[in-house]
Amino acid sequence: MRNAVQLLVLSLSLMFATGARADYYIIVNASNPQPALTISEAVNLFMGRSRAFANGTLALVFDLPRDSPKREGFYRKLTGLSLAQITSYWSRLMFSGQNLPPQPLPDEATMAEIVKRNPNALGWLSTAPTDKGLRTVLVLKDSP
Amino acid sequence: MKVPSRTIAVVVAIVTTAVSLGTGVCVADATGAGSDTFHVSGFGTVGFSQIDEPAGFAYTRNLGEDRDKSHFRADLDSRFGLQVNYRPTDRVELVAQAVASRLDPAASAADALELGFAAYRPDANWTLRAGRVNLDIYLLSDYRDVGFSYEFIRPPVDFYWQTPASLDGADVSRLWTFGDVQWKTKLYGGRTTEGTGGDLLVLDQIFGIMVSRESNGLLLRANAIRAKFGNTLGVEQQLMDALQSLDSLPQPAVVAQAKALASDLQPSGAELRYLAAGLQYDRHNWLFRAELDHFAVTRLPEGNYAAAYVSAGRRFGDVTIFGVESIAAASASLFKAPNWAQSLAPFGPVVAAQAQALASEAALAINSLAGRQHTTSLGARWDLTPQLALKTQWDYTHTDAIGALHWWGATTPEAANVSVVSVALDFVF
Repeated sequence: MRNAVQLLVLSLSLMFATGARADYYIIVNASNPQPALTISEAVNLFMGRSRAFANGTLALVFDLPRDSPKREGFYRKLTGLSLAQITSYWSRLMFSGQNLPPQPLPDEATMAEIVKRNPNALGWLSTAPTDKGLRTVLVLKDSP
Repeated sequence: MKVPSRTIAVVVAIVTTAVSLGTGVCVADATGAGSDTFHVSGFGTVGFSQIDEPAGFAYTRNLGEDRDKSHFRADLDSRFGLQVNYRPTDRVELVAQAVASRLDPAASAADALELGFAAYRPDANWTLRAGRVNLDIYLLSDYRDVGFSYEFIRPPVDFYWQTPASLDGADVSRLWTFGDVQWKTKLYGGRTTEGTGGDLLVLDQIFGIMVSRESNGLLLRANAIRAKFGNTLGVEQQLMDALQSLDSLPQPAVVAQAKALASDLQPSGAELRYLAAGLQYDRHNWLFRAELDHFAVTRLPEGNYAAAYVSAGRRFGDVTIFGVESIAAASASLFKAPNWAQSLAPFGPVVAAQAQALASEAALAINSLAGRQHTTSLGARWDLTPQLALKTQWDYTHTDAIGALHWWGATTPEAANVSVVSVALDFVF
């Protein structure tokens, strides 16, 4: 009985630990020559300040849909801004004709599939990619 | 709200085109190339204002709006905009944006088209554009209709009232990124118009340069522009014709004064030199903005002008509170009408009275360039959802005895106080 309680406590701890963690994985196609991204490079690409990878290749940046519950956490982690601030920021760029926000894809499975098929693609997932056609260039870790 | 039917027609045409071409949503193509083609987006504001102003004043947020003198207004800030982006390739983009708002009845249909250009990007850092492009002279000037993108209900009127938002011409820009620091420079040229009828501001042969630096939430931007006035300034052509008709009078002093007045009222060909600088800081829930400009006109010192504002805001979760202090001042002093009634008395009382009335009208037109006003604003913004914000704002403006600069109907040089209380709902989609 005591072991069962210990197991239950351990399981719950792991469950809550896993649930509380919200790491985000910024991914590229496995053939992309960009070895890794710094936070500021990722911010520049996802916020439209930069249009290309370090080697000059134009980046095709993808996002999850506007109503995805995971976007708030991703952008908070990446930029420190709320979704309203992100929308406000993009409305400045978009409606002054400078740039468009990352193209939204329906879900993470589609994101992984599109990035796997396009050498210039950049996207993000909420779980570590397992497909060999994808490579993680930056992990946004949950703060301890 | 009366919106010119041609404005509605432009918006409807864009919506229809977008829908017929398969609206909206930028979806990756079947091959996985991921290039979106059409992107339709929009913005809008539903706003209400209670304006406490002296009789005859007409408050507008910019030069081209309808001069409604009502105290309660729904048309001051309410607007709806629609934009279509078309990207046939990674390097080419076509953009069109139309805005429906209550414009002056003399406005043309083309005034509803805020953007309409073709862009070519040979690489990630160079952009060449031609058509009707945004004119980012000031921090907010090229998206001033998009209320969701800033905290105010409207950009500070003392500063933004006569700012052209777009340029019919071309620009070329280059971007440099050094770690967290991004530099951008843009050269542009073309023509722009703002306002309508006798208050149409036409600037031809515009050549400008913009330099900006952005890093860690701090944006610095400077602009220098040279342009030529392409039309009259705030006066009807018949007033100048009447002054020129005095050439035949055998009174050299009156003829010389009439010519000088006509010249002052006709800045066409005069050169405009325009300098602007802005600072914006947005980090750690603090938001600061400061901008100043100086506007000098050769051959017409009455047209010289300067304006500035500072704003500070603090975010508390989804709520932002802010305050703004702004000022606009023309360098011109009050012009006194010449006494033609006395000089022309020998020609009879009717001629003398008509000439004096003409001198008074011309002086009134020149004095419309003079003025000084400053405004204190306090407000709050509440982000209800990531695409919807509710705002409220109180503005208190004092115009000096020399007259107001940005108020229709405020031609009498007298001090006045105006307060505006506004509520608005801003959205984007």
